[in-house]
Amino acid sequence: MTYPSVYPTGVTVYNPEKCWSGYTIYQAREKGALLIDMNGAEVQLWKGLHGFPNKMLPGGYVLGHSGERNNAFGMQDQTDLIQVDFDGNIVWKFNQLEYIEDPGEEPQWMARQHHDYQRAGNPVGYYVPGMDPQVDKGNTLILCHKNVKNPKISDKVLIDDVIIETTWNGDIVWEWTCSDHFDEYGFDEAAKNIMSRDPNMRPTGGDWMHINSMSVLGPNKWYDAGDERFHPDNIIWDGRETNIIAIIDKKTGKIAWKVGPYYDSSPELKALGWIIGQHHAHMIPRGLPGEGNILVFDNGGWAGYGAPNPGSPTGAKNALRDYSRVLEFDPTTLKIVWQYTPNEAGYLHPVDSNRFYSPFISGAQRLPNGNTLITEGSGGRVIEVTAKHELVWEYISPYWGEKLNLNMVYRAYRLPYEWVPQLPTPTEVPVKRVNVKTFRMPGAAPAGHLRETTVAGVRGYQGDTALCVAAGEEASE
Amino acid sequence: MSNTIYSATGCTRCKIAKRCMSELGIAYEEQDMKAEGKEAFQKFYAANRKAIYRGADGVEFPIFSDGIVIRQGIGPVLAHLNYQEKLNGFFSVGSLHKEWVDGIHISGGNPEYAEEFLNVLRYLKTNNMKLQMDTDGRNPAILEKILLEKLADVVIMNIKGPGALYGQIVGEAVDAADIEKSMALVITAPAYRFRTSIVPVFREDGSISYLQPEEVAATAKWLDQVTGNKKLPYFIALAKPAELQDERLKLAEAMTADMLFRYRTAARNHQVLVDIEKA
Amino acid sequence: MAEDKKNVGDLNFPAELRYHKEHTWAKLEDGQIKVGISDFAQDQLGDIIYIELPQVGDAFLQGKEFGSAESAKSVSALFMPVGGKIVAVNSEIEDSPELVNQDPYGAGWMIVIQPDDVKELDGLLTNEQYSGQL
Repeated sequence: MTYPSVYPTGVTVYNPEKCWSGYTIYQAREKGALLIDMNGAEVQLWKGLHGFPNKMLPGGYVLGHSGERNNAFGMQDQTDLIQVDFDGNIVWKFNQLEYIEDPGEEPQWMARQHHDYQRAGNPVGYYVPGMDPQVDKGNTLILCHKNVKNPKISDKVLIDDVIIETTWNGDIVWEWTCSDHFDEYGFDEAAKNIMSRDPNMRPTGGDWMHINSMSVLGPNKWYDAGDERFHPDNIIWDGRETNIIAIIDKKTGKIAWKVGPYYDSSPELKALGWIIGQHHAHMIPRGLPGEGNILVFDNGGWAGYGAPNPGSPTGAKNALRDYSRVLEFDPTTLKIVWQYTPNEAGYLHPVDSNRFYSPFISGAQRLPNGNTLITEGSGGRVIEVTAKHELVWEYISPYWGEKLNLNMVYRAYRLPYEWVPQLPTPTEVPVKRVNVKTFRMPGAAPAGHLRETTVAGVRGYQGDTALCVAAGEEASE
Repeated sequence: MSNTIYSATGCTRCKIAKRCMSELGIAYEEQDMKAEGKEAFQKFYAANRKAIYRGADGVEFPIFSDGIVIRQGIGPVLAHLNYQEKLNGFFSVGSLHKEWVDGIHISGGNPEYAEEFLNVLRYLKTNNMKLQMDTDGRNPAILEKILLEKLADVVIMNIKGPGALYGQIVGEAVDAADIEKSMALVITAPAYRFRTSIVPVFREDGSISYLQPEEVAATAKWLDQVTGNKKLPYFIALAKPAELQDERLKLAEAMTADMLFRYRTAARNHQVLVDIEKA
Repeated sequence: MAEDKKNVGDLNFPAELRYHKEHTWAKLEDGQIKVGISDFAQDQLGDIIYIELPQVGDAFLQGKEFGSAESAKSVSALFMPVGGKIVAVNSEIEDSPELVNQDPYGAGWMIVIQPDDVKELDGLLTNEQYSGQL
């Protein structure tokens, strides 16, 4: 996340031999749903189509929203979820969850969708061989908001999370409300204390859990082996504000599995380490390398409720870390199977770790060849890394908002070329990594010193890390 | 016959019952189950267990017994002390606590005794109780008087279904105008809500099936047509076996909570705030 | 409503008994098993006003309900700590349920079981395990 004031945008690295090449869809800030190829060519923009996130379906369809509720009255509430064809025609729409009459606004039905949704046929909303999402039928799971009062949590109005399942015709057939399960989350008294006083208050209420990801487990080896917690219909979500990742039983609504809100209560959790403010926790679907493991973008930043500490005088957002990690772990043993952290990215830990850091948004998608597409969202950076941590594709969004000066990317998805039959398969041109040691702006001096003088008696440099703070191997001891 | 009132220490509504007996000159003996009456209550309970109602918080007090008749809860006890059997159907044991009294059924009793019914409500109000009442739309004239005298703090209207099925569900012929008059009156109460239980009904061909989502939508539409308001607090709920008059209906396979969502979606086309009642 | 309930530390769980997690105790006496409810269970119920016990000769599996204890506040099901046939019931407590409050491990005993498999006793909780789960 440490960027100079001048740097390139678009694709900066592309190794076609090692990439799982395809199109990438993302919500370009204040622009619309943008489809790019591996060289960053903007092959299609659905102008003005909101995307929280945008996801594609086979046949050139894209899912998104026609707009967002006025922020004076709502908090990230998308008015609807719509499916749009390649030519921009709306072919499916859901909005009938809550009838809203905001002052000065047209009364209307709203979905109040936020952060995620899943169309039947595919558990996670990205490409999985043999598990195409349905395009002209099927139910859709949608993550939405609902204002509630729940004195167990706080006396303030809460912006609660609900998950609904709607049919193709818009009939809601299942609903789950997060606050109904408050007693199952395992908060201690210190957490309840600060949550009661400050349930993450935003202008329109307490966004106490802030679920930012919701997907289905799908068929998996754990369930096949008899572990009922991982029933294929069960739903996994994560709560940014509480550091919880949870699986709910689709039938009973009860929590079937979880990690968090604390990561210091067992040796296994301590080894996993504190997951903080995380995004996009999901189970890697059957058919992709790592299937059955949990893949999550562990943002770090600031999140959680608990005892006060010097970094959190009140106990609000009391877990802190200034770098991110992408973790793939086994949900039964909690053992980390694969990770991409500042260390794997080649940054000296911890002194240079903030170069892999997004304190909000972001995500991770497992690709069929074992690569992982990572959205490091706050800086608008999307990368593809191999299982051996080699960076084989990098893209920086060129779209800074006019109203919000960020080129943030909420969550990007890679999809196969075949999903967009309207377009010819693009030519793939390698983009070699520029040697930044010699890369200069016009007008800047070229690399190299003009003069060199030998100084008598000087000794050579040590390659160790005797810095002001412990780093590298010393820091990990 | 000796009258006994079984009470619990600190129970306000037990005090109201005792005050009423004193005012009516009815001699009685008190047995406080938390004090010296513990043993007497235990004997009474063991002998009459089946007749004693238990709510979520245990046995409700006061309980009155004259040796033959047992009445439980402040409403039924006051009704019996004053008017014996005349007010049957208007009161049942409630489930609310502190200053709130429920189990008051405006449509449940004989309207010939409206004045007697109102007297009991007035007595409860003068004793500083707050009253939550329910109606299925019958006896609108009583509802009108109740609202005129500000006796109700909350009114819940159970809209039993669409007009064509109403009589069948309540078990007697009803005048749709009565139901509509009640709908219009309820929205003038200090606090109110509407609800519909999804009950099984007999169909023309003799089969039994639950109210359908379209029928509940029609009910919501009816409410809108009568009140001119699409944004009324309106709840739908699974039927409880006790709500069913006919034993044959109790044999219908129970609905599950998830099935209510379709009803909610259908009804929201006419009443946008419809939600599922929390169990 | 506030009740005068004791802290777990003030309750008594004799070490010579074994406990079922649903709050019944079991004591082996001459190959038969005497059963009652724990001090915790009687304290939670408060003044017991009615106890429903099975008939001698009835048989139930381990963990199944054999009766109930009622107070003004609540009704608690009674669970078989081990499976077997009922060979005796304490009719004393049917008339004087307060005995269960006063002496849950003595005069307040409830039933005697001829166990189907006395080894089921080994799977029950010790007093420490039982109090630990409260």
